[in-house]
This record gives sequence, C-alpha cells and structure tokens, in this order.
Amino acid sequence: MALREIRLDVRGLPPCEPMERILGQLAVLAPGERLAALLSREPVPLFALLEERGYAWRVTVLGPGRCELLVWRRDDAVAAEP
Amino acid sequence: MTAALSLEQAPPLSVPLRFFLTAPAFGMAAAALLAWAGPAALGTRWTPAVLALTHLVGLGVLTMVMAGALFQMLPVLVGVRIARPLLVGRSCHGLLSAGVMALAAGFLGAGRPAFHLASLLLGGGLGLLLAVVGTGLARAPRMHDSVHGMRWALSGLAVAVTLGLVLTLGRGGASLPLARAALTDTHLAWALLGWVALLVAVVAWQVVPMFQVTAEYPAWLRRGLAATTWALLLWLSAATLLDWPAGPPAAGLALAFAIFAAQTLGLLARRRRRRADASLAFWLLGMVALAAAALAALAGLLLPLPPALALLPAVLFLAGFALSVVQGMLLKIVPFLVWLHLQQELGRSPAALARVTPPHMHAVMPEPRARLQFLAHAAALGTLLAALAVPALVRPAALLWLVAFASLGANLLGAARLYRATRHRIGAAA
Repeated sequence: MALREIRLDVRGLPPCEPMERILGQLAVLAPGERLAALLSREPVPLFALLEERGYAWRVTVLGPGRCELLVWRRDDAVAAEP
Repeated sequence: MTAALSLEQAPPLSVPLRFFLTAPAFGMAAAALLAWAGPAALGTRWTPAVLALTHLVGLGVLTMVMAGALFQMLPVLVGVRIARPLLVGRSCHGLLSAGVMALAAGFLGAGRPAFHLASLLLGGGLGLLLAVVGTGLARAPRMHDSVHGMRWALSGLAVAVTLGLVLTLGRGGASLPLARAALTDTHLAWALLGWVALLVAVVAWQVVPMFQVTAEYPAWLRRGLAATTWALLLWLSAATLLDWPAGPPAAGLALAFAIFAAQTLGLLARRRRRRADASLAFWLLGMVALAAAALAALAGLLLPLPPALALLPAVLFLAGFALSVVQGMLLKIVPFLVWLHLQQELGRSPAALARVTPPHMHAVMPEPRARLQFLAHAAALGTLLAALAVPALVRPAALLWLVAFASLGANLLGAARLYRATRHRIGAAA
C-alpha cells in the first residue's frame, strides 16, 4: 500500500476553526493516509487532543506565519513513513 | 515530534472560571459603591471611595481575570507547567478575593485591623501567584517574546505589591520610610503600567494576531516595550521619591503606550478577517481609550488640568482601556477554553466521540449577548467620562456600570452552564 497525503490549508482562520477542521479530516483518514496541514502558527493546544485520540504527528516551522503539521494514526506503519 | 502537553498540565476549567466569574461580582460591588458615594466620590483621587473603587477594579476585576487567565493560558499556549494547579488556583483565588474585600473595608473606615488582614491575605494570594507563575515562566519550554514579556510584567506586579504592602502597613499604624504621597504615586505607576498595561501588551502579542486574525506585531515593539517600560518606571520612581523632575519619564511612558495603542489599532484596521464582532469592538474602544489616556496624561504634564479633569487619565485608563481589553479577551478566551476542554473530555471517551458534538466557539458566548455587553459597557464608560464634568451623572453612570458588569457575569455564567451541560452529556454517552 502506498502512502497518500491529504493536504489542508487552515491559515488565516480564527480559533478554533483550524483545530476543528484538522480533527474533522482526521476522523475520515483511511489506512495509509496522513494529513499535511498548513497553519499560521504551531497548534500547541492540539497536541494533547491528538495524543488522546491515538495520533502521532510532526511539526515543521517553514517560516514566519507558516507551519506544517503532519498527522497519522499511531498504529499505521505506512502513513508513518518519513 | 514536539512534546505533547499532558492533560494534567492544563488545570481543570474550574480554575480559571472561578477567577473569571468572581471578577464581575467585584465590578458590581465597585458600581454599587460609586452609586452609594455619589458625586462627592470623584472629588479627588484621595477620597476613601476612590481608593476603595480603584482597588475593587484593579485587584478585584483586572488582577482577578489576569490571574485566572495566566493559570490556564500559560499551559495551553506556551507549554508552561503550573505546579498543583487546583490547590494553588483555589488558594490564590480565596486569598485574593478576601484580601480585596478587607482592603476595600479598610479604606471605607473599618480601621487598622482591616488593613492588617488585607496585608496578610493579599500578600499571601499575590505572593503565591508570583511564586507559582514565576517558577513556571522560568522553566518555560518555548522562549518567545510573550514569555520574556510576562516575566517583566510579573516583576512589575511584584514591585507594585511590595509598595502596596508597605502602604497598607502604614495605614495599619506602621511608620513609612518615605512620604506617603510619593510612595502612593510610585505604587500606582507600577500597578497600572508595570503590571496591567505591560501584561495586556505582552498578551496582545499572542492573542491579537491569533483571535483577531491580524499580522504579527513588529519585532522592535515586542522586544523593546517591556524593557523600555521598566527603565522609564525606574527613572519615574527615583524622580518621584527623590523629588527630581518627573516629567520626562512620565512623558516617555505615555508615549510608549500610545505607540502600542497606535500599532494595535493599525493591525486591527488591516485585519484579514473582515467580520466585526463584540470582541473587536472592545479592543478598538480599549486602544482608543489608552491613546486618549496617554494624551490626557501628556496634556496634564504640559498644562494644569482643571480640577474636574484631574481623574480623566485614570478613568480613561482603568474603565476605558483595561476594562474594555479584558472583556475583549474574555469573549475569545472563554469560548476557546470551553471548546478545548470539551474536546479533551471527548478524546477520553471514544463512545461519546461519535455521539456528542461539542458546541462551536460562537455558541458558547453568542454574539447578540456579547454585543449587549459591549453596548452596556460603552454607555457606562461614556456616562462616567461625562460625569467628570457633570457630577449629577455619577449615579446614572454607576447604575450603567452595574448593568454592564451584570451582563458580563451573565455571559460568563452562560458559558459555564453550557460547559457543564455538555460535559454531562459526554459522561452519559461514555
């Protein structure tokens, strides 16, 4: 099974819409898929919610006002590829 | 992967809500006091009613909200760990509330024992806040400008509290090391600018771009404002206590915060999200009032203000700037925290996740009610400002403040009730 990346741009949305949209997209994530979300800032409060729901994630700050968040199911070896 | 915030790290929502719900009660007490004291209350800044009023607002409303927000927002936004949040939060809230009541009673004639009690309670409550939040900030994992700024603001509170305790002990019969008027002016400058205005500014670096969807504040302002405020406050304190000319540092402080107000207004005018709401209206009003307070203070330095307008900068600052901005923040922070805590509850229960949808942020504090809260506040502020020139308006202003704080209290209570009801539904579905 090949890794598939779902892209989501939530920059410029007021709280809590970026987190709501990310959680909504994660709820329909299929095996082998991971979410790549583009945000305006590091979503610190989201991390605890992801942890509880069984997701792993990786954050990369791309520059001022740009931050990429990769999220996948913790038990999904395909989606966890670097 | 970035380390997650453990759920124990963010205190239960009851911790900040306890502080937030108490603030309007002290606001209503201040309004009732103004109604009772009437036009004579605003004669000079030294009347017992004015002294009690400023502390009911400064400590009972503003510091109360700021303490609650610090306990909750530091873990959530900055990743700062607060030790034993439930115990510390409850103790700090209890000591601060009782301390403000004792201090107000002291000013209103309850005598020396009230001042002694107030020293103990406020020293304990604010000392606890300083120790716990200060330790958390010292160990903060994310070193951004707000963390640095909050350290400066908390140190400003430490200076204000120390001077306040010295003055309170003086009221309780102890002899003061310096003239009371000079000590009072210095205490006031640190409390209003070193604590309230500086904390608002460093919190604004975070919450204005995030909640109002604006560009970031310029780096020179974020890096320079706190240290500049401190340097000018130290200069002003030395000038006040040693009887040097205090005009230059006072003008510098007025200018620094006028620049902050102008920058904020500029960011808000160019915000990316064009929809206007009550929170934005509170921020706009607050920043116009801050700029006006700075101008009034500058005018007072250059030419003698008529006695009726002696209180103008203070009223613009406390009622116009601080009370507006704090409500603008609460209208965003409370719904955000309610949403976040309910999502955490849902995450713990996969069964409830499929069956319960937590309310959207807009439903937690509905906009029509928030708009009424803003209108009541703006009417109260306008009438109070007019009352400085027309004393007959003092009692109508007090009644409007009573309505404004009741409206804030009702909206906060509504949010707390919605949180409890949804939490109950999650528990039932689990």
